[in-house]
Amino acid sequence: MKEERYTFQPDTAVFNTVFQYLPVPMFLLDEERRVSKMTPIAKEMFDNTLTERENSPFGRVVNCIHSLDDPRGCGFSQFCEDCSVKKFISDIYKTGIPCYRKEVKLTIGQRRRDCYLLISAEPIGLPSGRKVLLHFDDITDYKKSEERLQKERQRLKDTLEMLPVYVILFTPDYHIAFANRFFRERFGESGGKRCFEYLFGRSEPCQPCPPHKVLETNSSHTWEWLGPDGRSYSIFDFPFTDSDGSPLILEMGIDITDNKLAQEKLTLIKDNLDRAQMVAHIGSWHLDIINNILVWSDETYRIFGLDIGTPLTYDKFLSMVHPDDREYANKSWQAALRREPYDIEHRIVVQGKIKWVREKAQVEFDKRGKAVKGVGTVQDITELKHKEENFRKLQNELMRVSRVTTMGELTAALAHELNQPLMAILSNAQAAQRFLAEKKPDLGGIREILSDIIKDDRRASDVINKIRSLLKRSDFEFVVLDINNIIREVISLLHSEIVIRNVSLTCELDDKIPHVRGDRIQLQQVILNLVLNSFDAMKDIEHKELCIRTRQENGKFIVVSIRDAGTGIGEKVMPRIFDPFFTTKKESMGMGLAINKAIVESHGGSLWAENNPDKGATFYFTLPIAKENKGGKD
Amino acid sequence: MVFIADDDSSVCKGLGRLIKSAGFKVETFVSAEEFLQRKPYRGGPSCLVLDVRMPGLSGIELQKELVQKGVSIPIIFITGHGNIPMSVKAMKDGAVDFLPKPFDDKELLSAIDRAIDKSAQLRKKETEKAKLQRRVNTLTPREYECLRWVITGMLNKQIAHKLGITEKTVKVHRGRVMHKMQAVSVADLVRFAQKCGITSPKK
Repeated sequence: MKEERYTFQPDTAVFNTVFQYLPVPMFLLDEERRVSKMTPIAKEMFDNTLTERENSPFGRVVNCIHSLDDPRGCGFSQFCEDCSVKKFISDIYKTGIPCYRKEVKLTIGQRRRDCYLLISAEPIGLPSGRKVLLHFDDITDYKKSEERLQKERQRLKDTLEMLPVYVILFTPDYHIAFANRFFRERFGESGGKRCFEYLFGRSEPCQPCPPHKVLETNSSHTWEWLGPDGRSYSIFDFPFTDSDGSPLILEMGIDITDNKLAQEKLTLIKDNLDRAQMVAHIGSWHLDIINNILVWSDETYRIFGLDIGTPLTYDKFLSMVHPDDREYANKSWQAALRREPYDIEHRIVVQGKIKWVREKAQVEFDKRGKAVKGVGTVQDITELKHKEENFRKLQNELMRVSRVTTMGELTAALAHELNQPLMAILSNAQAAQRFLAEKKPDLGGIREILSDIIKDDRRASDVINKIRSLLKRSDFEFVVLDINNIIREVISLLHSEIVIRNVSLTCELDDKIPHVRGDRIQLQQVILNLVLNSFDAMKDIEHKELCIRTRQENGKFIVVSIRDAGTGIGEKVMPRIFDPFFTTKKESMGMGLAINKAIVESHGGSLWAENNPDKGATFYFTLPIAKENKGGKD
Repeated sequence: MVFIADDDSSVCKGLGRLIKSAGFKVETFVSAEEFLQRKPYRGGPSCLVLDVRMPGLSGIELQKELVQKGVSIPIIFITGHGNIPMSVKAMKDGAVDFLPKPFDDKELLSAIDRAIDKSAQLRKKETEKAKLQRRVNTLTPREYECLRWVITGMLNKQIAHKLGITEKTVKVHRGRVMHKMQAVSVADLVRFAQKCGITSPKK
């Protein structure tokens, strides 16, 4: 056979021509592995630029790193020791049997590239002697892509194996065709058993089998599974087609046990928070300032009367604020964005009804100082406001009542004060009538009478003016005033009372005392009441001494003290004297001091009493000094 | 004579003018104490126009003081602010009137007229009482004793038994008492005794 091959004698000219045009990379080698001939494509393939192509050693032609002369090898490959090409060609020469499609890896060409080649060799006999026809197929690209694919496949497999979730492939007959490491570690190897057998130890499939739904609907679905390991999984099933076209189910399971516990805890916390908010009527909110997304707690929704979950923005909130308060609320929020505190009370309109809320918030800023978000609370204070309002009304009413009562106590003195001049006027006028009725009227006497009448009339109108100043207004008005003037007014009103009761009054009023801010009528009432009280305390005392003092204290307050020489305040009574309806007098309602205290406190001051070391008691009250002392008239 | 006591000098002056114009003599005082210091008025009928509320001694207190002193002068209270209990008390204690200020001249003057009348009556009563008292003072102790029994309406015999003397002696005493007291009948005697405040002994 081999002889036959070698004896083949082709027409050299034809052979040469054919060889020149063969569209495949081919070499014709002699026994010494010298290149007798090569096709143009072979030249191209090996980047050959050598001139000495013909009869050059193959290694040099293909730019093998070794030369043909190198005793280490054939000059064909860098792995010369077991250079497959060298052996391959030697074998063919030896046996004369052709060899096809042998895969070799070579580093060749001027660019020293690694390449995979399929080589085939055919011994042929030529006139010039025995030769070997060497044919190359470059399969480098194929090999490389195969390698890549392999790597890719490995990566995919590794990914699946490393996933912290389980991934399995189910067959319709309940076998597990593939399970990743997560699954195997959790549930063990299936060992060829069907899922229900080895997961649950059952003999029949579960009814229903949720993954099987995928086969019926041919669409994915999600469900939750309590595994035999006692943990909860969130499961995703997808229809999947195997490489051979058979249907499979791809299932992915995520362990959500911890999430679930956390979720439950969170739900519990949220429930508690919700309940607490509901009880306290305090809702909370969170505003993403950058994206203008407002999130409310359930209670906030309830307070605003909106369905829980209604989407919100800051503007939506603002639209629910009472129109009269809207500007105020918005301004306050804009100020909060400039790092000012946000603690406001305003009204909101809920289904046509007005509610009062108190809002508090904190704004968070990023590193560059830009407002990022706001977190706040909203408290329903409607009821509180109503109570406050009622309380205020009640208090006003009480104050009015008490003023009327105080005035009642004063009536005797005032009536006397007014009736005296009226009496004098009347009797003088009638005397004058009588004078005139005489035949020779005493004109000098009548002139005297008339001037007395005028004098008494002035006296009467003075009294009326004083009373009017006490009674004319019923609403309260805070103005800047001089406490000394108020004390003087009260004293002048009580003048006759002081005389009749035989009280010796001393006033030590500090003329340089700063002004205070307050309601004239209310302050008059306080002083009037305290002075009348001191009269009562000294009713049965022989030497009735009363001293009214004013002074200022540490530049913040003025102090008014009313000191009497009366019976003093009993030790047991002392702690209760400011209690409403507490009285030691038969005819008193017991509101006087309680109201005085309320009035003084509403002015920002305080009222207290002390027994004097010798006799009687002193009542003190303080009032804060008005800030704008200039320009205020009293 | 009309006295006026009011702490308000204008009122004093005005009332004084008015009362004077009605033909009375007037004296004014600006406090109760001032009035008390005046020596008792011995002239004709008089009255006091008195303000209830005054510093120091009040009108009511002055009234009390006068009653205690046995000064019987009719009082017309005037007040700027009086109440019913106060006026009732004042009237009980012998006030003639209680006028709330301001009042009309007619009211005041008619009250003064009434007070002066009352004063005159009081004067008359006092004079009569003084006359009778003088008669009583002439009685011997035994005659006085007899008189006290006679006005009980007892017979001479019964009186004699009570006093432990004879009926005849009683008859003599009785005759002298009738004579000294200038009484025509036992009824006269009883009336005189009453006026002088003589009481019958306990039986």
